[in-house]
Amino acid sequence: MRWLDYRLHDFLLFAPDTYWRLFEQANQAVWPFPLIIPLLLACCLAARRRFAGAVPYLVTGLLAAAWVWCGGYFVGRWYAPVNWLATYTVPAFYLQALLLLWFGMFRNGFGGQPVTGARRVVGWTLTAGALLLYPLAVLPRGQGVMAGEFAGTAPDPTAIATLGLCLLTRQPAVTACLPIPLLVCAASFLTLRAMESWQAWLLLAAAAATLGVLATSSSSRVR
Amino acid sequence: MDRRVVLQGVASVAAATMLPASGRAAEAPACRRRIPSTGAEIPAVGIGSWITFNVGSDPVLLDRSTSVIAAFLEEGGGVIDSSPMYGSSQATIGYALAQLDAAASVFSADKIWTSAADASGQLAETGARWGTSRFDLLQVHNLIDWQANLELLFALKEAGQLGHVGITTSHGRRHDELERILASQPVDFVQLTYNLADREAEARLLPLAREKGIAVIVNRPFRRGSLIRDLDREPLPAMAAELGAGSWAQVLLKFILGHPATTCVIPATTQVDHVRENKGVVRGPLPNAAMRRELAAYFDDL
Repeated sequence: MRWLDYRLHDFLLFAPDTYWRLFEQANQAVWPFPLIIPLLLACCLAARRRFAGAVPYLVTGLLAAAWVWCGGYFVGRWYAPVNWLATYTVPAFYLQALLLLWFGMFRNGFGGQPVTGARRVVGWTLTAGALLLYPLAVLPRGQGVMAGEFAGTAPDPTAIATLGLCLLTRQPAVTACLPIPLLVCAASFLTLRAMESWQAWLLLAAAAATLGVLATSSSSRVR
Repeated sequence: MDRRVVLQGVASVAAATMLPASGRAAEAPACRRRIPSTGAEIPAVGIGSWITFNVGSDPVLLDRSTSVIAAFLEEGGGVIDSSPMYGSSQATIGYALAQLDAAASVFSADKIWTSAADASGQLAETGARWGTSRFDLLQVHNLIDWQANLELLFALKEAGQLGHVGITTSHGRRHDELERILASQPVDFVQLTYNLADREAEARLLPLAREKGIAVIVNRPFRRGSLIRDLDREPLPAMAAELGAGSWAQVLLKFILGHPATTCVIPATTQVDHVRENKGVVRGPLPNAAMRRELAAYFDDL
């Protein structure tokens, strides 16, 4: 078989308008639930100093809930019918939720000393961008916010927000929570590139920034 | 520029009335083609469902797909081709045919896309999605477990539960193995990729199919639209007017249908006007062998 004959878009099973409308369908069916996880996460982060004891556990719970809902509801219920490959990814979303619970509950993952420097800037940029700005990416397509990709429902902002929050912690065990969000970024990058969407570059930038910052942090520690 | 040319209607009328300007003998149009093994006739232009009908449960897109199938039926209907691999396409076709009460008026073509051990279960699901218990054609998708799957399909045909048996490939893959299968197995249909850019099948597969009396379904006539997007930047060949083709899409389809081995071509689309344009190609003349060679040379020079 001549695998080199395949091009990226040969693996795309659906048309772009079908894909973008999935988010509108999924949001509309449970509206305004898709707003709740990103808003609660944003509120927790805004109040992190005042409620320093509770916020790490709330963030853990919300992130874990985000991955469960994203995998079970969006990927399983809406995405899998048009992309049978997605069916096999649902367990990875549940596994990520378990990893986040383990990291947050047993490693005090989202507590502890705050990070500084580039890691802090990138972490906050990814987190705030995923929670607050990513849903607005729908506007250039002429769709309303109801069709937006919200963290906790759509995989891409969920993965980016998770990467951002993981960068904001110093705990070494955080590396266990990175592979699945990075894989989501990679898969979505390929999907969106096949659809010729500019949003592909957001995924690539998020993954590259995360890996770059981690590499820099790691080499700093070595020195 | 949209691939569909505004003057298409004018071109169609002209095609129906004019003689070839060059005096060359273009082939007479053939709206329907004969299936050699059974003698049944099907329209020369069918419809594919890869990507276009994979719309999940979206009611807006389901209704759009229904409109496309309604237009297809108005224009003469024929082969609707799908596969379990195409996401929700089978269910979309089933939805549309139920809405239009038209399940019995199409030539239903689907595929086995699994190992023989799971094939019976998959066929039951396929039938449930289409809303039918008997297909006009079932094919082994991309040669998957083809020995055992063909055996199953031949048994279904023998039992009167299936009209025709076929085998498919696409993107020009595994032609050597496909050639061996066509030479050795009594299949009714072969489905393969053939278009102005992918002409490998001309060398051995199309002549072999003709010699063996195997009907040919041509998939990817537009390379999933990319051929049309590329060609729309280029001028139509002068021969287009002679053939009554008002757009590159029609030139591409006429090139395929002009090959004497082609039984049916299955372009996929989400647009009603594209269905009508695709169906319209058989109302005008088709290119003969010399004209097809000229078209291929024109394309190669672009």
